[in-house]
Amino acid sequence: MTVESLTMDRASTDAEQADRSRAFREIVEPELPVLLRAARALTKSSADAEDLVQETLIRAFKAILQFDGAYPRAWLLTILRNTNMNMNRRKRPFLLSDGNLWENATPAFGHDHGSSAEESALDKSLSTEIQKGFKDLDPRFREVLFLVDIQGFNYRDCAAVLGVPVGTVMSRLSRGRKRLREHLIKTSALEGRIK
Amino acid sequence: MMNLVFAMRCKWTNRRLQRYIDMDPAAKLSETEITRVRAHLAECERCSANVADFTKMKSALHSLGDFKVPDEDSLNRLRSKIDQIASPTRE
Repeated sequence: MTVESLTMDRASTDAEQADRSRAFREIVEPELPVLLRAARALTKSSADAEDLVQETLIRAFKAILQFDGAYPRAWLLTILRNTNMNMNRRKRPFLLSDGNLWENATPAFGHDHGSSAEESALDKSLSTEIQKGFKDLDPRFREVLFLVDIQGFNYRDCAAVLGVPVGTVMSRLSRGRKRLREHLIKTSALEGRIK
Repeated sequence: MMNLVFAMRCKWTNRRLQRYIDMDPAAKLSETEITRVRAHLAECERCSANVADFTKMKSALHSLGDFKVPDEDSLNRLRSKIDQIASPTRE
């Protein structure tokens, strides 16, 4: 092997490394808030969530060259979920199994200065009953509603976090919403004009 | 006969209601389906009330999530971690 070919190999390795670093930054950095929110939901602790995301970043960097570029968020969330399972050596049965993430929730209703006092009271009642109804839901429905409706994940990303097919997310979401709506109508928090 | 047709339209619409409300990219309704759903909602009080309820509920749930915006310090520490991992001198 000549000095010239060694130099070329080195240059090629440096270029690959630079590509890898650039791809990693471009894919991962915009997704940090989502990763942190998902990690918080999985670990229920801010410190553990940060540790989990750090470990996820390391694993994502190692795997970046195998990534096909489709759905980066879902790819990262799958790594996050698998990392969490490996770190805990067990699978958490469900997210929010005790609904504790809701203890410190501050309902955002009534903050709209344009709403009337009557509307604010209705919103407050809806908010209170939603929290009660949510806690009573089957955990399988609760975790999907939490990720999609509260955290704003799309179906594919929610499926990646939970490790289930998109169709399962859709069916659990539909059933969970229907049950929550039934609770809200029963408690008169929703008008339920036509049942 | 007319009632049966109407009931079938309700059933058809209800099967697509959540996807209509969410408009999620992974489960998009076709333009034809959206047009049919809208046409039915315009004539069916029951289904349009369902949509109103689910939309209000979704909005209420979303509002309850506002308190969990990630902490900026955590994000900054993670950005530093990205710098460290992606640094060319790391390997």
